[in-house]
Amino acid sequence: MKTTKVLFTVGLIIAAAFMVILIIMGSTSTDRAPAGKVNETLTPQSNSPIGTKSSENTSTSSAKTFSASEVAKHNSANDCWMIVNGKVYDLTQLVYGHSGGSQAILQDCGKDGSVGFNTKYQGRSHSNNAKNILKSFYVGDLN
Amino acid sequence: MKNENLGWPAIYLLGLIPILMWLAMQPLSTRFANFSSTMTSFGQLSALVGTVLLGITFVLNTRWNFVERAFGGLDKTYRSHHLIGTASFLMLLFHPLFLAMKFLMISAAAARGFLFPGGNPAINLGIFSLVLMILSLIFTFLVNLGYEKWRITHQILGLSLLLAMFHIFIIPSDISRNFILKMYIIAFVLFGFVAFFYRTIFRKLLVKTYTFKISKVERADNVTKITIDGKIPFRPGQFAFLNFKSIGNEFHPFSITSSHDGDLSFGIKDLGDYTKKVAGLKVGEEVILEGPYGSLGSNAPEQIWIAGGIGITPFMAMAKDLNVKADLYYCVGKKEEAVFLEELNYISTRRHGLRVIPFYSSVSGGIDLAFIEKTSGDISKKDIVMCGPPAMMGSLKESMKQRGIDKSKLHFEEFRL
Repeated sequence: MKTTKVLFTVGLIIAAAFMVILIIMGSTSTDRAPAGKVNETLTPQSNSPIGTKSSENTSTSSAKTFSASEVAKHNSANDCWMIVNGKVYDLTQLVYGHSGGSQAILQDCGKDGSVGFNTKYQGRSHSNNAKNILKSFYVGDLN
Repeated sequence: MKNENLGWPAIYLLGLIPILMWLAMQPLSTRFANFSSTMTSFGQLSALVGTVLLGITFVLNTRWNFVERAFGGLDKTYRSHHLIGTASFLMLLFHPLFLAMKFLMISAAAARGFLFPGGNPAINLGIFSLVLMILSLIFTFLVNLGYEKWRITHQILGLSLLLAMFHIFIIPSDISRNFILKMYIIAFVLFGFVAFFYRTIFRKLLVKTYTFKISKVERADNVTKITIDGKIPFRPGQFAFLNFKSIGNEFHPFSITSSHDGDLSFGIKDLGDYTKKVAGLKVGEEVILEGPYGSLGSNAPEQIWIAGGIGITPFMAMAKDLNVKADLYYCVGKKEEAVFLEELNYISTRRHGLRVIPFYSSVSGGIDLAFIEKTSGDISKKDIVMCGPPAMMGSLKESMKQRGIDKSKLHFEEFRL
């Protein structure tokens, strides 16, 4: 009982410390996107169906646009771009870390993955956190 | 291989199987391709193994006969329950933290969003399950609540298991798409449920108990000797869980001190809040008994018995039914505490194989192997049976190990739930 008590306490302290650090980091960091990525502003349309016009986005003046054939070139695990709801994302970093499995992303690399993202093929959309994460990988709009 | 050695290897094997299945699903190069995928892998493995161990932890609490045999006694089964339960908890605690590390690579906000309840019901269930588990275990480990309240807080873990099951069912991942692996994990959750319901809601229905009445209460030093008006089949050295109705609903384990053919008797020392109340029990009051359990004892022709304090109780039953040779070292602080000595001396006049050697630590210090060897001669051929406080048994076990005494010759029991 003594050993297990120590193990339990130490484990709990480590987990609590991790959470505290995370909360502090989360509230001080203003830049949500990793370096080198275009910082996209939140758009209420991000949940709306395919075809949302990118011109509605306030930051569109600086946003790059890509054609579907350009996106199609990035179709491997080491270079994976995807179209989701009219926007282009570079998901290379996410391929092997995806909660829903790497296969779920790989099957749509270089393609329009809106259906997959919006429904996960089971009628449920991704969480708000996942949507925010997706935004951080934004590279431009589809023309 | 003896039955009692099977428990731990079985657990290693059952924990290893999901790891092997996981390994077979994808090449290792993609599992550990980068930091993000490595963290995902750790997160997945900790969940898989942690869940299997969680199910096993519940099963270890059932007091099922085959489980007790696999671990060589109920005391060892409960120790395994503590250890495996803690290991399981740590894995399940770090499961989301590993996954959060992956999100941390994207942004701290993403990691934070992942760790707090949000729009994803599967993740929410996992979070609630873990929070319940943390709360319940804080009460188990860090807050001294007393037995009755502790039991209720510990039972919250059943709810935690239920939420965990829904979490496992609906969480989408490449792991959950592997049907066999998913069923394997769910199977352990179900084992856990069966065990949980067996010991909680359906206990009265499924666990066999006996109801007796107290027929005699005797008091000597700080030990109460209780005799009850009934018999159950048991082997000398075994114990039973007793619930004295007039004190409350708690069940506590006590060694049986009577011979196998007499009315059951027990020796109970005032150690805690509960056992102190035992002194006030009256003849005619109701006792509910669950058992017998335990496997202390040996069949060897020559044996050394070492009893520390109230650890004498299983040896009382063993002495009464003795048909081999045994030297019984009865170790207590001072003479007044040797409350069973008179009865033992009487038994030794009828059981000639029994030799009782009282040992008073206030006079001679702690008992050691040298004293035993001086008194009983070469002990390497004899089986050694021990029951006593952890400190005494620990130091004796250590010196027996140094002496190269074969582990299979050692039989011991320590109860400190």
